[in-house]
Amino acid sequence: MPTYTSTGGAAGGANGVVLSCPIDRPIAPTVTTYLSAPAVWVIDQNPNADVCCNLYSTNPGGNIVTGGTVCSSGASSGYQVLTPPSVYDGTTYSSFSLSCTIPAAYNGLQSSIDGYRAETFSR
Amino acid sequence: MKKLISTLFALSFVGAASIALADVTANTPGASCVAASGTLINGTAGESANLSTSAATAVCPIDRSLGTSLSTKVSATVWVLDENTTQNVCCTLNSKNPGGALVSSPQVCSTGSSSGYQSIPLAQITDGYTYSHFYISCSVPGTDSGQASKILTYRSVQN
Repeated sequence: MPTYTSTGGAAGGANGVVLSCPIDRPIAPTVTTYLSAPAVWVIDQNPNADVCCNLYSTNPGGNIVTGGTVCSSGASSGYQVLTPPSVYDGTTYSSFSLSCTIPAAYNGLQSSIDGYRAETFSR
Repeated sequence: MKKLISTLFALSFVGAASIALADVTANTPGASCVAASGTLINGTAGESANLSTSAATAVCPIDRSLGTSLSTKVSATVWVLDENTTQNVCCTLNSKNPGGALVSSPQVCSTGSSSGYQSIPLAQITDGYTYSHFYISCSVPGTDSGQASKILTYRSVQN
C-alpha cells in the first residue's frame, strides 16, 4: 500500500509499491481516443531503483494498450518530470490510467509521485 | 411591478433552459474506487480487485458537474468481473447530501460467475440539490477457488 503525504503525494513506503492512478476519460459530447501525460512529477531518492511509469488503456474485454515505460534517474531530493509515451484506444468501453512503480524508502528517504497531468483528446 | 417580476422570472427560466447541460459521459477506471469495508487492491491496468476471501464494499466517486451547468441527473454502467460462484457483484448508484438525504437507484447484480466481464446498468437518479455528490457503491465478493472478482471500469452519464 502507498504511503500518502500530507501534501497529496503518494510514496513508496518501506517496501515500494505499484500504484495505479486513475484518469477520467471523457466519452460524450466527444469521444476521446488519445491519452497523454505530459508531466508526471516524481521524487526519486533511492539510488538503487527508479520511479517508472507508463500509461494504460484497459478494456473490460481484457485488451490492454500500454505505452512504453519511462523512469527517473539517479537519486535526488528534487523532483523529476517523466513523460510516458501516449496511448491510443478507439474502443469506447476502455478506461485510462497511469501506472507507476515507486521504490522503497532508502535510509528513511521516501520516493514518491507528487502529481500528474493528463490530457485526453480525440484525433 | 408584479408583471415585471413575472417577466423576469420567465426570462431567468428561459435562460436556465438554454444552458441546459448536454450529456457529459466519462469512463473511470475501477482503481478510483476505495474500500468502505474489506480490502481492495488496484491492478496495474486500473482495475480494483478483491483478493481476500471476504466481501468488500467499493465506493466509486463520480465527479459532478456544477460549473457553467448543473447536472441533476446521473446514470451509470459498471463493468465487473464476477468470479464467485455463490455471490454476485451488486451495485447501486447514489446521490448523497451532506444533510443526510440519500437518493439511490435500484440495486443491480451480476449473474453466475465468469472469467469474462459483465455489464451492470444502473438506472438514472435525480437530485437537484447542489450540495449532493454522486457515487456508485458495489459489494464485491471474496475470492472463489483463488479467483478474484473485480471492478474493471465504470461509466457515468450526467445531464
